[in-house]
Amino acid sequence: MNLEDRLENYKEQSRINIREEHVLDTIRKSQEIFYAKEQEQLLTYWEFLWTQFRLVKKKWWICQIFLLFFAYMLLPESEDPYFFRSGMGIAGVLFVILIIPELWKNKSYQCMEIEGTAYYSLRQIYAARILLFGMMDLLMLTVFSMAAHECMHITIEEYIVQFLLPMAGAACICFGLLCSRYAVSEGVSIVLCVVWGAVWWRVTANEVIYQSIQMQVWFALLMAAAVFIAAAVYKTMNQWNLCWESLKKEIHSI
Amino acid sequence: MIDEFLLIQKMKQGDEEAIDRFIRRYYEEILKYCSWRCFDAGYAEDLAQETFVRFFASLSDYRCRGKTKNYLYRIAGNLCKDFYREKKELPVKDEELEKSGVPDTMDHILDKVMVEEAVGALSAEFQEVIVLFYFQEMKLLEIADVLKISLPLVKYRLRQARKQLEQNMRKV
Repeated sequence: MNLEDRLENYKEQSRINIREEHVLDTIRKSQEIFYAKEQEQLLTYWEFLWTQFRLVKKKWWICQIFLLFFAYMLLPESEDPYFFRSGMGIAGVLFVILIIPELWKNKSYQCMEIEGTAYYSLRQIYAARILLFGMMDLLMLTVFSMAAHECMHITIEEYIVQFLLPMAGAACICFGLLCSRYAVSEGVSIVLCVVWGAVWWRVTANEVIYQSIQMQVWFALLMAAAVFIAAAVYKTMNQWNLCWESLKKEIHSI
Repeated sequence: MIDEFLLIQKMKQGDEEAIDRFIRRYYEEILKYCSWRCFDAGYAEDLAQETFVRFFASLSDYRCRGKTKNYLYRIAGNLCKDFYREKKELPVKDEELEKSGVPDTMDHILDKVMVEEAVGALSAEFQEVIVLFYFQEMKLLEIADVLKISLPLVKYRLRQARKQLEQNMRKV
């Protein structure tokens, strides 16, 4: 018998039995080791950002895109400059109102306790969310401003005064209430933004007041709003752990 | 390949059903390979289990380059090499022959012992190619991929392994 025949015979004679209990044991141990190793692994910052991105409800971004689209389509049709001004201002305020539900989400659904147990701190979770919103909104506003300049023939000064400034005002209210030590609901924030929108509308409606304010004043107000928003965002992230500590004390006292 | 890629992605997400399917897909083949390498059912089961445990321990770092089956063979091959370093003497057990349903004749026992001794006496490199080629019935290109060596080297090792095996069988 040559070598190949011998090996072939040996192979046919040797039957290998597969024990189901051993297969199940292998599956169990494989799963255990996989989960154990996964627990040791930490998410990278990009993976964490991607996870937060998946959790954000995209419908608010879609609403913002539609809002900008309607502003782009409807406002140039009006020949009345007053309607154009107030329309831009209202669009700017509504743009901020549409992100309020997402920023207030963890308070609304009382998931601060769950987020407090996460490996990444509440501060980091909120930083990630604000970064994601910032990036998305910046992209939308960049496209809108380019479209406004090219197609609606709006100057940069008009865009800043009539759209960005009321938007910044609403953002100041939103982030100011978010970092407030008092528990303010998203409804209050929305109402105050709407009130701000109404105030802005009255200011732009009054031709005397509107024309008398110099461009430098508008820019100064915009800069002040930007500084306030930056400070509010910083305070929001630093104070989040304090809010969590006071909430824990409340729970323990019950 | 796409099916395998999707299965691995599901496993990385912690899908237990995917892990179950994966192990059941390759368990028999890996168990057979370990059996041909160590000639003992008990050790073969342990080595096969250890192969999958090691694979899942590094699953998060695993990138689908080439066939996953070949990667499993590499892990199993390394485990079998480590096993042989401990130089275990494995007598043929009668109950194993009975379970396999083979008639308990002297000739069969002698043939089995001869082959096992002859293959066991080969170096790890030669044993690998003999087992993969004759028992696992792999093609030479597949063997080259499993062992991460060139095709000419596979052919060379197979040729040398055959010569060595024939000499070992004559000695036995």
